[in-house]
Amino acid sequence: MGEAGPFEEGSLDASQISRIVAEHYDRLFKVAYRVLGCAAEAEDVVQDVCLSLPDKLQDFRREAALATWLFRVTTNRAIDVYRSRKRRRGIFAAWGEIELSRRAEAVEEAAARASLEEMMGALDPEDRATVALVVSEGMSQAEAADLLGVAPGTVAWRMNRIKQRLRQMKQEEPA
Amino acid sequence: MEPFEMEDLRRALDARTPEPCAARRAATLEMLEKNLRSRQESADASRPTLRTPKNKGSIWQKLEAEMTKWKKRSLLLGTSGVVTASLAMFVVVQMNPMENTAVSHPPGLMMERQMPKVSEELVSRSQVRTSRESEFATMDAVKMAPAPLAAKGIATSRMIAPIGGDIVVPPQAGDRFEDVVPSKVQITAENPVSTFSIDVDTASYATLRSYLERGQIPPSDAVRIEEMVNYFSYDYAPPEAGGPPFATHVASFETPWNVDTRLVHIGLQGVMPEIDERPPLDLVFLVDTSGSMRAADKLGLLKQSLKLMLPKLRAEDRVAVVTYAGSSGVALELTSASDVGAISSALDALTAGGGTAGAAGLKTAYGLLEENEGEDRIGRVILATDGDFNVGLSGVEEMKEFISEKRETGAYLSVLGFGHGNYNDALMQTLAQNGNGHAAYIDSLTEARKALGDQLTGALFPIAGDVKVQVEFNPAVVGEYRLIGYETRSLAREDFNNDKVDAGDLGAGHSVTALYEVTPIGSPALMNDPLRYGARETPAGDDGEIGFVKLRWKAPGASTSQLVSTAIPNVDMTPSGEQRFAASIAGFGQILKGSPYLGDWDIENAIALAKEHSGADEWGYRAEALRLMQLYQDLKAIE
Repeated sequence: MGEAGPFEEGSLDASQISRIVAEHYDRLFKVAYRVLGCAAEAEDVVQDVCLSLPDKLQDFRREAALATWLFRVTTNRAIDVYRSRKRRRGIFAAWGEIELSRRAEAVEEAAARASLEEMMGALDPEDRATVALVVSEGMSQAEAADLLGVAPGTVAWRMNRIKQRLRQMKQEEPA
Repeated sequence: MEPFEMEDLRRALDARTPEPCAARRAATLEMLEKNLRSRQESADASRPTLRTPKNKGSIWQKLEAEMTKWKKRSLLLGTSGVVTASLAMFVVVQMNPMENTAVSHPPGLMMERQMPKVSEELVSRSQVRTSRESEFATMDAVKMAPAPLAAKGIATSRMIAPIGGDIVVPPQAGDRFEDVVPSKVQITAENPVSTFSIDVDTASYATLRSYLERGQIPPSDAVRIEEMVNYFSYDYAPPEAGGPPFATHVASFETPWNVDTRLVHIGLQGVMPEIDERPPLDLVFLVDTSGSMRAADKLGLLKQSLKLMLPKLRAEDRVAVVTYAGSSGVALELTSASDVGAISSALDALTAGGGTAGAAGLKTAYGLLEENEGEDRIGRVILATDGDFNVGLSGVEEMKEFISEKRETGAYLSVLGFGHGNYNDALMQTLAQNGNGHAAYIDSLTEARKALGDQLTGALFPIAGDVKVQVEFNPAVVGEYRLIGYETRSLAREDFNNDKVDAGDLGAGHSVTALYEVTPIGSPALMNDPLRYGARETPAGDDGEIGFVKLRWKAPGASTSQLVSTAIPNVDMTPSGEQRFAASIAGFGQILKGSPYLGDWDIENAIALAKEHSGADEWGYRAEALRLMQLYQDLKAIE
């Protein structure tokens, strides 16, 4: 390997990078949205991540490395943004601070929707990120752990806790 | 039907998640492509480096290269906060004269652009995993051999140590910590003298709290036990009038984690002078306003923190604000601390954006203090940053020298660290240590109140400078000993009497605690067998003392040190609650570092001990420590 300058041979070129980012853009947005519960903030996060790319090019020799980086940075960035927002506005400025989704009506039951809202609001941003990656994106716990920078056991533990919460909510649900 | 299984959650989430805004998407991708293109052009124009021509070949460039290496290495450590780092780097690109692309958010209306057709091939899982494995391999390759601990510049020597050649570094930015080898057990007969500098920093404690609260076990290099122990204030008796400005307390008692050893506890308590007696302060807040400071837990928290400090100052004290980002500038000239309005509005006006021109900012800040040299005022630069000095800045060595020179003229430097993920712990340590200052990591307003409101006034007003501790153990009593923590503060034996060797300062009202674990002669806990050949007889002699503690310190501004000493009597004392609490924190620290000396004693024991001796705990700091211990216990249980 030579000095790893940008656009050296073997690293991805500008058009490849553009293509890869475009391919992943929607999924990145969804992950950010599921952590933040706010479309505008999710857009900001993804934009910040995409625009922080040019100085990092030398690090991406393969598509997989770039994709991993995009997901990792987006997830962590979304968690950070969520946290700072929470700090700014107090504890309740989370998912529960409802930003009405145009597609909310697509949810089958209004009660289920309210409960989901409540549940996502009650989760830590890390838990929501875990849900976004494992449940929605269908990643393995090991992959999610890698992206989140935690031990695989931590992801397993979080998933377990979330499952228990779901069960609990089911019991509390009036028949 | 099961209303709330994972599958329901997935579907509900899917249904609720909106599609990204197409215009925004197009705008972002267009900007990205533009950036990539200009980047490629500039790379083509000035390969192999990306430095601007005027920097070419200069010492700055060389130093920058070193910093880049260090950064690369640092990229291997930690996980989160990649974005803040990369954002800062991005902004740097924008500062190159060869381009003038805007970095701000796109205007509302952007031309729709045809998207490349989304290809079917998604990154396969195995690919992701493979890349991760290679990252780990790289990490091993770059791991450096520990350098010997020297009195000064320990962090620096490692920071700029060459890393393993041209390794491709994975894109993982994060917090950086110095590698430290925990102090080993010393055999008294061979090496009876232990020397170290006091440490009044608390940054490590706040850092590990931040980790634990995010559900992560802190990396062991982030843990500095003496900083954990010294995070808490202890109820040690203040010094008597007429003596040195601090009281020395020594005691020995049974080690909580080993019945066959004893703990030697050394506690220094600095005097709290009448507030009217202190000379007026000139404080220059050097505020990092680079792009990476944009997060609310950085610049926002910083502004609030600094405002919290104002009521603690007096009218003759003065405050100035200097910013550094891209270009450095004076945001507020030295202004009387009573003019809260002017200071507040100067702070409020600060906004983040641009790269980090640390060196220039530092020079401007010290420049403000120079104008008032010779007056009877204490000058201090308070650097508030998330830890990056990444544009046009010198290497760490240069910077260290500059700060040290300024220290000689009486201008000190304190560092307040902000934000997670981008925080350069080792660099901040080095800077504060060379500036005779205090490094604190601020992650909440509570922490800000502690570091600034309660305690920074102490750090701002040193009562004893270059405080060194030297303990000589009595080989007739002590077979082996081990200093707990203070690895980055260890000094050579001969440095003790060398007044040129810098050490930590004790601020007004501060206390400092050090703990040794000592193994008495004949104890089953001795780790080393006596030598068969050339073994010395156990020196007969006075067994009335465990050892002798010597302290060297300088009056503020003085260049010659004074000596105070006290013997550690060989009597088993009943430890006070304060001492036991300190021991529980030292125990917790050792658990976090994976210390081999604790035997079966585990986090549960540490919790029990800390719980029992939390005392009055007026500010709830000890309750918080208990919570962190429990958090650690929970995290460990699921690992």
